[in-house]
Amino acid sequence: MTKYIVRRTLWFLPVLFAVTLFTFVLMRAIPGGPFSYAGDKSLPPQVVANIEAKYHLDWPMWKQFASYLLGDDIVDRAAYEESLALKRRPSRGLIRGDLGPSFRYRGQTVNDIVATTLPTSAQLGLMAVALALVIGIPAGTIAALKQNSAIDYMATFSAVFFASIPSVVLSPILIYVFALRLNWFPVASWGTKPPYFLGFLPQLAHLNLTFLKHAALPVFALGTGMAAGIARLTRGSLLQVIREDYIRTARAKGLKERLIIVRHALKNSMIPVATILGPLIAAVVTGTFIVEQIFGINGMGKHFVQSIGNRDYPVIIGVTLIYSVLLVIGNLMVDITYAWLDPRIRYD
Amino acid sequence: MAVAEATPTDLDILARKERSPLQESIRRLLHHRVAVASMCFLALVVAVYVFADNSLFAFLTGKPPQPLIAPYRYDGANFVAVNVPPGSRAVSTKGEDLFFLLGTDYLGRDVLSRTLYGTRVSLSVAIAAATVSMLVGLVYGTISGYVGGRTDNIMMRIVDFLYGFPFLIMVILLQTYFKALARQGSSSSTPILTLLVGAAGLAVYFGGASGLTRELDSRHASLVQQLFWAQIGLGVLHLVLGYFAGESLPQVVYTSLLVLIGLAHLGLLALFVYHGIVQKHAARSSRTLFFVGEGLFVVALLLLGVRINVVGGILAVNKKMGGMLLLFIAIGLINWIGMSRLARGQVLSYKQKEFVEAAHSVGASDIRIIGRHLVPNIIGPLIVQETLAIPGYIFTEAFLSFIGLGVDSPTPSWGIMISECYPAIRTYPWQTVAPAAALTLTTLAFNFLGDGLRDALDPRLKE
Repeated sequence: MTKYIVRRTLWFLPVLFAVTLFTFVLMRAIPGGPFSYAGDKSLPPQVVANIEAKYHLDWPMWKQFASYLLGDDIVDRAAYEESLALKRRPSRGLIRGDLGPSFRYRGQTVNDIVATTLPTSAQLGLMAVALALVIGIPAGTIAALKQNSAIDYMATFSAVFFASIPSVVLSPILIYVFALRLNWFPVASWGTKPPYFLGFLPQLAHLNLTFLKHAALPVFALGTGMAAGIARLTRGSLLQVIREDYIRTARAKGLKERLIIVRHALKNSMIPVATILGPLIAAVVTGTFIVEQIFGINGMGKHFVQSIGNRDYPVIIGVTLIYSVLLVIGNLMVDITYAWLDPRIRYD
Repeated sequence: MAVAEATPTDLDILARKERSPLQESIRRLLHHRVAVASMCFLALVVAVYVFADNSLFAFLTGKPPQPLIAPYRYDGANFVAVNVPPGSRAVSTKGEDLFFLLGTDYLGRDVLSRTLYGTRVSLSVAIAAATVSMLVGLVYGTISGYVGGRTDNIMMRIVDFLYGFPFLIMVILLQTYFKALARQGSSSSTPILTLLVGAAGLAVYFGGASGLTRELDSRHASLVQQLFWAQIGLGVLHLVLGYFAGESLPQVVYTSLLVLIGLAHLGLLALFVYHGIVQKHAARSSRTLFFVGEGLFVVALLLLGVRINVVGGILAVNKKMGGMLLLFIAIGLINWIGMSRLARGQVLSYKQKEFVEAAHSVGASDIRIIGRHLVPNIIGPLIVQETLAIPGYIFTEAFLSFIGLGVDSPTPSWGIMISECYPAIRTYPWQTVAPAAALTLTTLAFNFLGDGLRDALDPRLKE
């Protein structure tokens, strides 16, 4: 198992490299640089050239990429010394964890931006996944156990219904109904502030009603679609598992019904559910773009979308990399869950 | 008398046996009430899609398109009736009576008309993305599963590799690039596509040539090698000329040099054919690779040299379509991976069946077996999967439009309408409700239809 995890992790290194290269080349190939405009006015070419020289945008592409990847001191010692002499920040390279400076927010690095925004997004995403699992699995189980009853039809219908409402639609509706008309929840923003416990968890002192009130609508907007997907899948796979021979055997030897469902049926029916957790994590990531935008949450998704508009290359590349790493970790965790659920799968 | 009693049941059984699996599936689908309702709704949406205005027939009359089902044009602003609620009347500056069933937006554009026109973007994206991902996935997966062995291994490794990519983020980046290109116009865009075609052509070409050299006897092999390197040399010359000398040389000299190089290319190709080496002695796959590669390579060189700007051409079409073409390409790139895995799995499970073996034994060709025997059997689950994936495409389009990477204004799409109007939801809720309802109902219909199709094609799941 350890060997498998190590091998998979190593296998993702080339993927990450390809993502970096692809993003880097694509962003540099976009016509019109990040400094072509200041507000609505275009800057004089000499000024643009000077600013671009400061960020080494005048270097050939391969050199810029090498500098981004390895750091200035390895790629071009002279330029490195010069930057130090001018009190500029030289690139320390991706291999040493430096994601570079932000072009837009002068004085902030991409690392700063990620450090302040990622925890919020992670809290939102994790709560949404938790909500999805807490609603989805029981709903799917009950629907399967009471197949073709009124409860089943209601659960199935609402699952399809909620799977069909994109967060673009759901979020404004939630705001309109629960925040503006009923005044139950605040309209926007997120309830916690740094410093965070363990880097991303809110401090216990912040876990009060205000936090939950702020979190309720965005988490619901992000989580319902997933909950619906999980419920549909759980129902379908549980219906198949329940007809297996070993369930009949368990019944025949007189096990309690609840034990049969929880121990025998549910565990095995979770296998297909585990497989879609990977895509679900991806869906959470992209869902946060919209939800954070609409609810005005200062998370990484909102920053990513804004940085695309601002052509803030280092932020775009850095955040893309972070997302890739998250997806990779997510997929790995799915595979491990898979192996735990189905002992027949051996990874060696 | 016993005979007379038995006859109806026998007839019944006979009648049932006569139905083909396809008819049986259709019958089951038509018994699925929700699926039928969804189909009716989608038919309505398609009707709106086609007849929202008469632009599909406008080329017959030569006049600018007029709205048919939609009451007004999608970009018709009325400054006398900005942000009016549903059911309002107004008199335009030209003195016409205006009626807004669903109200107007912040420019006084009719929300109903824009919502109806919005089907065009959403449905086009859904259909195009579904077709692209279905075709690519089907072809890729079928080849991978059918050929098997080393090819299968390599092809699936590529899929595994791509699977690690955060695809929606890649689509966002690609779309950012495309949008920037479109904004820039075609004047100085990087010939990135040309370079890609050239590189792909070169790789295929090299594969074909090395295959040929292995399969031929030494005399022919060395000839192939010489010709190959001569072609590469010409290509490099072409590249250098196109990139560096294109601006500085006089047009006549430049063009005649290009023509000379092109003739030299053709001459070399003629030498290949004359010696007959390519046709006779080598395996078919190497020959095909060689010629396809050669073709792509030459096409890329020509494009680069003559500077027929492919990117520019695509951008022009894209502009006409309100920015949709690039959206199709971007979204179509997402989903073929899952489809190819599904197709491969299906092919693997059917490949060993008796009917395929029987087809082999009577001497059917691979293409015939795939086309006549395998694809009809595996297509069902793929269609179901694709139908259930369509809401995802519609979401993606809405999402991209929402973050400002979708179609260009003033072309209406439901995503853009929501993103433009949701900040004012407290004051003008109707502006958000109409596109939101349209979006939700359409995805709902596709989801129900997909469920119905799955039950119809695979009744075992129903019980």
